[in-house]
This record gives sequence, structure tokens and C-alpha cells, in this order.
Amino acid sequence: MTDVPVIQIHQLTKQFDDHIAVDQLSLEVYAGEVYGLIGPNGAGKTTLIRLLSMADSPTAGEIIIDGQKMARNEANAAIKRRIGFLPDDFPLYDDLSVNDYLEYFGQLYYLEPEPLNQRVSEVLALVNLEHKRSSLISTLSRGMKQRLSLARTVIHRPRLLLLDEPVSGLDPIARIDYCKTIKRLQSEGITILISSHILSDLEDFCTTIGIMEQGRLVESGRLQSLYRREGQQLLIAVLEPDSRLEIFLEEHPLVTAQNEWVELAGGGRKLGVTFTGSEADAAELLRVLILEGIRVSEFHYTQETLEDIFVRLGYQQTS
Amino acid sequence: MINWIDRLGTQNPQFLRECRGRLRPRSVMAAVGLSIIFQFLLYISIVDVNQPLDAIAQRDVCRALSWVIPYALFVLGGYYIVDDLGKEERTGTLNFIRLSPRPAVEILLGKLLGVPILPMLLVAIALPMHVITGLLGGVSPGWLLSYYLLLVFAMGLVYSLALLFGLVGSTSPLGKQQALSGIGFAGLALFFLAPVFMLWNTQVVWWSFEQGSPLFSEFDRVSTPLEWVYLPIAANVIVAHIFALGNFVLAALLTWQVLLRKFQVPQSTLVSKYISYVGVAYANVLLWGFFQRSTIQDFEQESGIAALAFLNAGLLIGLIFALAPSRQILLDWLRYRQHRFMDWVWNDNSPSVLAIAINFAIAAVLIVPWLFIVKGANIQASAYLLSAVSLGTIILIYATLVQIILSMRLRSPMIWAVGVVATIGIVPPIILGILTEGLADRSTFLIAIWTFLGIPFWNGSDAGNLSLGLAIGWAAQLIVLLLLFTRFSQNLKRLSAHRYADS
Repeated sequence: MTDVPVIQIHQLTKQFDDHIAVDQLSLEVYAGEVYGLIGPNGAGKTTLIRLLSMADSPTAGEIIIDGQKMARNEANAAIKRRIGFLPDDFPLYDDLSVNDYLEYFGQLYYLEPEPLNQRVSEVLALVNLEHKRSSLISTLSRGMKQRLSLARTVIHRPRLLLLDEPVSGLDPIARIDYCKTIKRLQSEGITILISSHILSDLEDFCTTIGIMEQGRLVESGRLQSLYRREGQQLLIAVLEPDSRLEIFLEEHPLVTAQNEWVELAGGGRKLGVTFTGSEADAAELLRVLILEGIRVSEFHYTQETLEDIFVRLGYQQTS
Repeated sequence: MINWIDRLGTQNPQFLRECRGRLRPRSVMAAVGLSIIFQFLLYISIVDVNQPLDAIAQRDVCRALSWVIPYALFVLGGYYIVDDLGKEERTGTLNFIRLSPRPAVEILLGKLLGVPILPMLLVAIALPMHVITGLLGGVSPGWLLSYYLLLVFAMGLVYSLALLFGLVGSTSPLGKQQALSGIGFAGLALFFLAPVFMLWNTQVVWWSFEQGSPLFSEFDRVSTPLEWVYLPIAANVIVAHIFALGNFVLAALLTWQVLLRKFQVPQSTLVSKYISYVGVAYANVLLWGFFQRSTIQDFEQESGIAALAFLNAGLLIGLIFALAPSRQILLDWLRYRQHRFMDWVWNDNSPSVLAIAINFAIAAVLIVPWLFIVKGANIQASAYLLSAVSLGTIILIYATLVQIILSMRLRSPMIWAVGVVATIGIVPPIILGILTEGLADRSTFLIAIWTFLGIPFWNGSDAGNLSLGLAIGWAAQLIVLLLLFTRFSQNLKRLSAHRYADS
């Protein structure tokens, strides 16, 4: 990953009639990053990806891909050569063979005959479809078609890959295989922007996460920083309820949020709190609690999943 | 062989893709078989196998094939193209092609040449028979050359129109009726394009071929060769070809301007304002030219004016729908508009009303002076002028109405617009016609009503004051236009309020 931005978006807006699908959104995605875009249905993820792929044109704002500014109502051929776009549906040509289909798209992207032949083999190997090279597309299963679509998307070695819900509709094993393929693409240095509802998958390979809500990015940052900032909680378990603890935590300046108390099966209760202090501050907190005579049975940091963070931060859309 | 295919793929991958998808052994065998069976049946139906083969029979075979070939190419090829584009748009594959870095011209050219490859193959198998029977039947090689030259150019135009029909059809509200679009174009080719192609060539381009053409006896040949602006285009074979081919090229160029625009930006208006001005001028000059000939009578000139009026009525009504931007385009225009008069003249996203007025003016520039020249001193100048401005006003009323409907939030605004314009354009005149049936002479009031409804015509038996009736009708039109335009301005203001604030 480098500090060269592959995607630069400034104040991007897309309005459909009265509905604002993307609302003054600004974003930078750097070379080699895998940027996961999450958000509830209707948050504007698909619209944003379509704008980046040039399938739609923005109402306002600016998009720069790999240093080249997208011009309104222009062919933008140089930018198109750098982008691979896979929409959530994946229409294919049933009358073509797998080989002919990939060759066709390779030629559309100006690949020369000899390298193209080699490249078709490479992408078929990437998606494990070498054995289907001469098969008609109409004979492939849904999972195979989805993999073939990915192969088509990367045939021209794009600098930027835009994937909109690429694993929707796949069974768990096919999904795991698909995610492995995406990781291999990531290892080749391709910058990827991916939207998905399966957050555990994104957690697995994304370097950066953006949470969209009502057309805006409500959160955007490196996954590790997000975890550090939002996902780490201090778990405190006590052997018996103690009202002093509740009051103490409510008044403590470094405790910014508290979850609900959870009753433990073996007696006692626990809660997670968002603690903004350092480890030394945490140690001091523990010392004070013990000095106060509160019977602490557990005191440690826990990690929230991306799904938990998303539910807490992103899913506040009222409609 | 592989190198050749690779080279073709590098040059035009779309053409190669179409060939690969369509030239499957079974399809090729079916096309070849069908062509051979057809040729055989045609041959035995014309030639008496018990008699020695003579030149007349050979010529008859060539003549029959000369008719069948353009029909087969236009109807089948056109259907294939419209159907293919509809299917691609419906399944979403066309978007992938749009997003590729290849120029739109290359993609569409690949479609134009590749999609109808089977009908072309079907016809190609019949070409040896056409040529051989023609040569044995005394048809001149020059005619055969001319036939194929015109056929190739006409195919270029017809297939370009089919591409446009397919693109527009697939993105229109009726686009899901993909089979209907294909059948619609096939019908257009069958009943209009192919017959016009054959009629024009027989009467004009091949007029001077005499017996060299197998189609010589097909129609009653016009006695005098056709002229265009006093230029005897039919009398000279070279001029006839230049004129025909030149017009094919011009019409195809205009079609491609529309086509490229619609392919690259599917949500755009069908026609750009610039192309509409050029197109209206071109169509008017072309038709006007046919009535500028050395032997023309006065009544023919009047027919010419009527023909030009009908042509422009059709063109302008078509342009009302083709130029009008949708609600979404208007919203975008309101965001970026420059508050300049020229924005309404040239910007394709701006409302179409002024552009329609300009197109009307372009048409009037030719018709009105011509009218005064033909009518000379006998003309009722004020009545003719009032009729002309009244026609222009009714066109603007329709244009504003369409623009109002398209700026509203409706499920299928274009269908509403067509429905409303058709209803108000047809129903009131029919009702008025029924109510006033039997009235030989019309009062000033009736003339005014007919004018108001967009039919400002008169005859000598009208009893009322003609100019006054026309003026009252026109004034009423102006009031309606003003009211509609006020309403449209309000709609624009409302849309401006809806648009997203930049801040």
C-alpha cells in the first residue's frame, strides 16, 4: 500500500429527482488498499460505485481516478482502461464460450493477441475455471458464472477494482473461495473498493472501511484504527450488583459509553464500556474499584466485531 | 487463419464477438440450406425445365432476385439488429460494452456488420445466381454494379436506423416489448424502406439504363427524367448515383450523430438541438428541390407546398418529443444552467420550446417565400401569414404542454405526453367536424375555432371575414400558450427549489 491516491472524490453528489443518493461525499482511497463500503440498503453504496465506474454521471462534484479527472459527457477512455467494474448482477453472453467471452473483453480493452491468450489462462486459473475454458457460458452454474464475471473484470489488469456485492447469492463454500480470490487480487497490488452485506468477509481482507448512511460517509478509516477507536471495549464483570460502580462509571471522565448490563449464568453481571484512556489509566481504574471494595471478577479489553460497530455507528437510519 | 481472426478481434472485437456468437455450424448450415432451397424453388417456378433455357427466363430469375435481396436484407437484418440491442439493453450487457474504452463508433459498427451476418450470408449464397442469370439474361454489368453499390449504401443507412430504433426502443417505456420493437422495424422495412428503395432506383437512378436493367418493365417509367433544383438527376447515370449515394451518406451521418449520442448517454434526449436544426433544414431543402424543375405546373408547385407543410408538421411533432428533456435532465440543467438566451438555443438539457420555434422558423424560411412566389399577386397575404403563425403557435402549445408533462413526477411521462397531445390534437377537430357537418360556408366564428384548434385552412366558400377569423383564433392560441408557459415557468421554479443546494 502506498500514499498515492487511486480514487479521489470531492463533494460528490448524485440526485435522482428529489432523492439524494450520494450527498457531498469526499473520499480518498490509496493504491493497494481494499476499501470496504458498508451501509444499510439505500445508503448509496451502489450509486457511489456506479458513479466511480462511469455507469452513471454525477449531479455535482469531482472524481479523479489515478490522477485523471473524469470529464462530464466524455468518453474518458484512459480512465476506463484502469477500472474493472463488477455490478451486483452479472449479465453474461450465454451464446459464447468462456474463452471467447474473456477474449472478447480482453480485446475490448486493447489487449494484444498473444498476451491476451496468456492472460485468459491466468484469470481462469485465478478463478479456478481452467477446466471450463471451452464450455458454453449457458452450461455454467451460478457460482461459476459469478467467478467468470470476476475474471472478466480483471482481464485487462485494472488498477482499480469496483465490486458491488460480489458474493451475494453464493453458498458459504463458494463465498470463501471467492474471498480467497479477492485476497489474491489484493496481493497483486490492485486497489479494491468493495461493498458487501457480509461484514465478516470484509473484516477478513479490508484494510479500510467506510460506513455510508443516507448518501454520506458517516465513518471512514483504517480498519485497525476503527477497531482501536470504536471496537475496543473494557469489559468489567462483578460478582454482585453494586450501585456504586454504576455511579462511578457514569461520572468517570474517560468512560464515554456503556453497554447494557448482562447477567452471567454463574451469578454476577458484566458490562462493556468505551474507555478512552491509556492502559495505565485502565490500571488506575481497576485499582480504584478494588479500593472501593467492588468485587471485580473480570477486567480486560475485548474486541467488537465489525458488525457490532456497524450496528452501533451506521445503522441509525430511521427509514 | 488464427492470425486473421486475432487481427479482426484487435481491429473490431465487437464484430468478431457477433460472428462468434452467430456463425455456429448449425446456424450457418441452416442459412446456406435455406438460401439454396429458396433459389431452387425460385428457379423452377420461373424456368420451364422442359424448354431450352432462354435469355428471357434468365432475366426473369435475375429480376425476381433483385426484388427479394433488398427485402431479405432490410427486413431480416433490421429485425436482427433491433432484437439484439433490445436483448443487450434488457439483460444489462450493453452497459459493459459502454464502459469499455473502445470508441462507440467501433462498437456500433461491429454491431451493424456483425449482428445481421446470417441474413447477409443467406443473400451472399444467392449472389452468384443473381449475377450469372443477369449476365446470361442480357443485363448490363454496369447495372449489376450499380445495384450492388446502391444496396450496400442503403444497407448502411437501414442498419443504422435499425441500431437507432433498437437503442431508443430498448430504453423507452415500451422497451420491454422487445419482440414488438423488432417486428415494428421489420414492418417499417417491409412496407416503406424496401419499396421506397426499389421505387426510387427504378424511377430515378436506373432511368437511363434502358434495357440494361432487368427491372425496366417493372413500373410505368416516368416520361421525363426527374430534376432536383433544375438539375436533371435521372437523365445522367453518374449524377443519379452521386445524388442517391450522397443522400444515403448524409442521412446516415445524421442518424449516426443521434445514434452515438444515445449510445453514450442513454438518458439524454433523443436528438440534440443542433442536429434538429440541421435535419429540418436538410429535409426541407431536399423536398423543396424536387419541386424546382423546368416543366413544373403551378398546381404542382401548390402540391409541393402542401407536401412540405405535411413534412414539417410530421418533423416538428416528432421533434417535440425527441427534443424535450425529462424531469431528471431538467433538474440537472437547473443546477448547471447559464442564464443566457443561447443556453435555450443550443444546450440539449434546456427546455425544448425555443428550439421548436427555431425549427419552425427554419421550415418557414423556405415555405413562406415560396408560397408568395407561387401565388404571386393573387395571394391573400395577411391570411397566409396568419395561418403560418397560427400553425407555429399550435406547435409551440404542444411543445410547452409536452414539456410541462415531462417535468411532472409521473410513472410514464412520455406515454402521458404522447397521449395528451394526440388527444387534444385529434379529438376536438373531429368533434367540431361532426358538429359543423353540412355547413358549406363557415362564419368568422367557425374559422376562428378551426384556427384555434390548429387547422387554419380555408376555401373560397367561407362566408366570414377570413383574416379576422384567423386573427381571433390565433389570439386565442396565444393566450393558451402564455398560460401554459406561465405554468411551465412555475414548474421550473418548483424544480429549482427541489434541486440539491450546493452549500
